[in-house]
Amino acid sequence: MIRFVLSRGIRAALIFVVASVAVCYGLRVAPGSLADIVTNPLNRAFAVKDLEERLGLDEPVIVQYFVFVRNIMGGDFGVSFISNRSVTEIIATGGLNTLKLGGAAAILTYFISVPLGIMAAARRNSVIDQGSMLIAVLGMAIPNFFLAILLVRLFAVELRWLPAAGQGGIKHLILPAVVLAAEAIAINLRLVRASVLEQLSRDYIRTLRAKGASERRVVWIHAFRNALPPVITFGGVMLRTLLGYTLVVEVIFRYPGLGFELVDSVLKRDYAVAQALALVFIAGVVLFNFLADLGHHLAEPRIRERGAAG
Amino acid sequence: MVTPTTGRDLATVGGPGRGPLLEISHLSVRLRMRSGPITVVDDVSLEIGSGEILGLVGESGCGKSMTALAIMRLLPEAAEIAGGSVLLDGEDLVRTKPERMRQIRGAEVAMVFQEPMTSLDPAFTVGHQVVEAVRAHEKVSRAVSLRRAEESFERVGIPKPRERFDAYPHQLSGGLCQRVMLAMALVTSPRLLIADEPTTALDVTIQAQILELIKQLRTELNLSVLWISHDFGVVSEIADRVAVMYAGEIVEIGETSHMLGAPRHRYTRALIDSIPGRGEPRSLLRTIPGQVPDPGARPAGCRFSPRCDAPVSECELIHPELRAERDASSFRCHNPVA
Repeated sequence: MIRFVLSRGIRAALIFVVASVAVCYGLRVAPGSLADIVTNPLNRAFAVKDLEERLGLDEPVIVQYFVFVRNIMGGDFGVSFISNRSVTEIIATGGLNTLKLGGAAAILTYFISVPLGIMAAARRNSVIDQGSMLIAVLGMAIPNFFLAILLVRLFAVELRWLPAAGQGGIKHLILPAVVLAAEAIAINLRLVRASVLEQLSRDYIRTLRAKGASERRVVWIHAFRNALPPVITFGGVMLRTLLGYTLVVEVIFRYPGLGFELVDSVLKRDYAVAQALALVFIAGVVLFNFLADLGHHLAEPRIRERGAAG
Repeated sequence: MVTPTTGRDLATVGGPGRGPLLEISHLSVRLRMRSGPITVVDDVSLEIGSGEILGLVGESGCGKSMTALAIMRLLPEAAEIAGGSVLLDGEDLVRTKPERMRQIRGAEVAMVFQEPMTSLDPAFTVGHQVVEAVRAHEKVSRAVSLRRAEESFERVGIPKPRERFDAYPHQLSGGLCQRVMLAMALVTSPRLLIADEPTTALDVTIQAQILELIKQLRTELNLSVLWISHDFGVVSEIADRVAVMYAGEIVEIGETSHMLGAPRHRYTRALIDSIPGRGEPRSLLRTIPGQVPDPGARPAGCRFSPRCDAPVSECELIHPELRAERDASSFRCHNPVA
């Protein structure tokens, strides 16, 4: 177990190093500069040069990179060139908002897809099964930005039940969370159904029935327990995908989370913010992959044992 | 007219007890196929007395497992009981309600299967699985069910039961897993145990131990056993009576020692002859040429006739009926072994 965590830790550190180089370099080779955006177009040439000197943007990229790394090591993420807010503060408030949205989407995903998937598997070809497969097909076929437009049109413009955008209470979370979760619900629903179905055809299911276990126990405890490993592994992939989709969904709903801030800072070439947020996203991806591995590890007695021995 | 097979004097054959514990009459099982239904168990009638071990022998695909699953009402989705009755102490299992059937499974009729390793849930400890069998039928505390499970483990000869409780199936050997299966089946003190090739996946020494164990449990618990096997050799060691199945139907049924000495049906004789070590020493192993006919394409007459070594003219045309003999045995053959 210790070895498992350690090896993943080293791998994560390597990913971070490579990613930080890519982020830092990538932002700077992109055409356009922060100076173009914040300076007055009338006396641009002078102002740009002045600003670049002040911010150190005239230095070679490699020098800028090491300055960036040194600052991060010291816990200093810098300040937004545009709004003057500290990057740490942007990460904290945006992170909290994204956590709320992502959490809502993840809860929605599991609370819908797991029970529905199990029921669909237990009653194959029933109305429940066919209905849930229809949901799955729609969820996978409709792109989330389009779904967002449809839902805003219906629930915000026509029915006026929910706000179209922005941040506030639970009401502001509903539409973005549904849009964010739609694909995950669809994929997870199919996965749970297929995995439970596979388990239901196993020999041990017959043994359970032969000893008089109730059908509910057979399906909801035994088949589901054995169907879990792929679902848990996919959970990591899913959280990672949800994180990525926040870039789209938060922008559409003008929801001030990390995704919104990242897109905004990249468009404005707000290097300090963009670099830090990109690393936060990478950290998220690495963390979710690790959690998926760990979950898989714990869910499967055989793997758990091999890990303990080796 | 089909004589309702084995007759009334069976109870005496079956050993102590009032009458047959299990009485299967004219049981048929159909498999729904795209090309139309196929009868895989055809008009099977059997009785098992209390404390009796009945062997059910036949080649793969003859319908013996389907018969067992039909008794438990655990047939695969594509199969259905097409007719007949299965009386357990007078209660017809074919017509009983699903919830009542669940109560019967495990508590009154238990079953063990061929593959002990895959027949246990890999995600739960074996102790948990045995405890679960108790609690499926009795509202007892965890402590009581644990003690019962421990007793059951001891009864089937698992040393240090408590230490094995926390093991997962993959940590145990095949023989030990089969003992766990037996412990699980017997923990609720069922009256009938259906054993579907329980020793086939095990090596010979373990097989011998399990056979001894079953015989011993029969005496201790007055357990009735339906022992299913493709191996006449194994069945002859354990069963009081044997029923031989071929292509979905019973072709011969009778007392084991009697049948071993004087089989009447030619298929039975061929099966007995193919037990290794029974022929002349160092002779080639005897086999039965050909294969069991496909359930969709069975011969019109005797189903064994294409493989029979002494067919007569009726064999191809007339399907032989099960003939009852005076000694409570019966067989289905136009040209029986003299």
